[in-house]
Amino acid sequence: MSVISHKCPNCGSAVNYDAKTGSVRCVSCNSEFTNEEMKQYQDKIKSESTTDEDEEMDPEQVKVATLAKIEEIEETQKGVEWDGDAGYTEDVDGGVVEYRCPSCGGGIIADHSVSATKCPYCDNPALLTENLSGMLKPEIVIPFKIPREEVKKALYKFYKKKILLPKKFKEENHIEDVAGIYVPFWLYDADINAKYMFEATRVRSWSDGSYDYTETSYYDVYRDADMSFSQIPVDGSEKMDDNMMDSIEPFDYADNTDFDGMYVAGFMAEKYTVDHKEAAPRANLRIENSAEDFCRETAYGYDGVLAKSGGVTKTSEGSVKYALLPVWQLHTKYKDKTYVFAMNGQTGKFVGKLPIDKVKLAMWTVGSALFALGVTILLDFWGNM
Amino acid sequence: MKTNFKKHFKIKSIVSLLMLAVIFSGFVGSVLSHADKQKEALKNPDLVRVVDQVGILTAEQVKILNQEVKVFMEKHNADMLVALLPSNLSSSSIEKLGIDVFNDPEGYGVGEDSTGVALIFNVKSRKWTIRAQGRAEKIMGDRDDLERIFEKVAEHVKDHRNNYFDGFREFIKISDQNFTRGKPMPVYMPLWFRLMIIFVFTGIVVGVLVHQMSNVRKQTTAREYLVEGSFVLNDGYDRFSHTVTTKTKRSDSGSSSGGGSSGGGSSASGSY
Repeated sequence: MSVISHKCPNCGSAVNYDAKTGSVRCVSCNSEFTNEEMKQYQDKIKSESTTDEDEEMDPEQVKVATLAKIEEIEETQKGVEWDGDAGYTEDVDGGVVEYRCPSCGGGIIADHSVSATKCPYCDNPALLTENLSGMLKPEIVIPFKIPREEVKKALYKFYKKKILLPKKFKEENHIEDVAGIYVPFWLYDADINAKYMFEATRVRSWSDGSYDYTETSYYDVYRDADMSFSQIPVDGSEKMDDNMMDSIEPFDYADNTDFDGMYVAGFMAEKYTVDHKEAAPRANLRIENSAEDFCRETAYGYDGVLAKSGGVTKTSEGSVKYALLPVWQLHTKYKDKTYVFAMNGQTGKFVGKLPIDKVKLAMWTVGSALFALGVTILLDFWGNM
Repeated sequence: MKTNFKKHFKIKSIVSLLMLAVIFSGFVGSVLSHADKQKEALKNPDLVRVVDQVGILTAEQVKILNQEVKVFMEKHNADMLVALLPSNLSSSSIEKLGIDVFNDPEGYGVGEDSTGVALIFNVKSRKWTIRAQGRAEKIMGDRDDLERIFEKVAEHVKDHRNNYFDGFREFIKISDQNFTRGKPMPVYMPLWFRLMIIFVFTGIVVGVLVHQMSNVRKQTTAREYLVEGSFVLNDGYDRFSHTVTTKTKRSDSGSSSGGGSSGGGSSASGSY
């Protein structure tokens, strides 16, 4: 089967990952299970199951087969190429694929980039496993830590002290959906050598009775340094706004864990649509800029230091990891324009771009100008007292 | 009763007359003493107050200027000199001259502190000086104030307009206004500076408000992903390359003076 759905060991209903407790909770009986307990349950089912998919299976057998598939996915070796023509998916229209829900048999329509979603008929979380296997299998995942109910609170907090925010936007906007998404990221490691030639200046000024003098001394400053960068994140999703994904950084990699399908239960997940080679220039640019900064900072005692030439070279083969990082995403509409907000699902950092009330902007512009004019008049008055 | 009344009336009349006499004598004395004081205060009434050694001003212009200077002197009890000189003086020399004309015991000025104002042009070297002596120092202001006065005067004489008649009249008018006000002419910030403050302030306020509407920013560095302790400086040098020195002439707009032996004052001088 290409679609799996985690089940409650008690009642067989769907389970979701609970960001608040870091465990798995049944949507029906509200039972809570640790990842370890879920794994033991999967092992138990696996030992009792059959893998012959041609046989007629009752629902319990489907469940067993599904959980067994999780194990199979997790054991898949990295480096195996993903075969898009796997037999259990059907290309229905231009890259959109229909999957079959293991719980109710309903059709789940999703594009190739979706790797976890919910069945529209039974609402059971579903893992589209072929998007999580082979090259598409993430090496690490950072689980959600911020629960869903915190997201809207963060949005309203984000509205606060935004003087130019249209009143109607606050009053009328309805966040209809808060989507928890595991966004594909590439994490780049690099050991580099940086060589830079800077032009540094020292400025000295003095005066005599008739002239003011300014002496600018120029220096050639050369720096050669080694440094290492670890896990620079670059999102691998075309759907997500790059700047927005940059803005929710940083993630705390101390919470990194090996990928386990259990973490994805109840969330959306995407597979990468920008591979690590395409995404690499963004990481390289950041490395180069920082390397230049670090070298420049070793040039002390100057009034100005400008890079004339230089660059970085790799001293060892860099490595890249495929990770799923937790992001809450919200959409809202205002005057036919969609506004998207994102929140780091681990740290709670909230980012977005709010609309500007043009009337308020004009009022503040005129008000500020009048205030400044008033201050200049007061200064004149005070100076002539 | 009638006698008492008469007696009382008589005494009252005498007292009143005495009081009136005292008041009248005080008034007359005051007027006389003031007139004496003014008359005595002008150190040298015979000096020429409008000097044109270059022959630029017409006789009619000199007459008008003399009249206006006289009115100023009488109104404010202060001396005034406006002069056009032919000699080739430097800024410092002309400024010293402005001080000397008041410090000379037989020179210009009113009273012990030689109160007076002077505007002197050296036409050949195109230098100027303004001197405010004695009481006039507080009224006309410091060097900056005197320079601002000259800016008004210069509108008539700079760029070879050479309208010294109107320049002197402007100086007399401003001096009269300052003496009437009892303090230097008000200083207003230039329009460009006022506009700059307005634009900068408005720009900062609006910029901050607009900036806070979005916190979506592209990351351009990877500073926080540097592995701690991994930065190793292998090689480097700092070599002197060359020096460039620029020399800018200081503005020759004047200097202030602490005053001479016969009282303090302020001066400004420069080119036009």
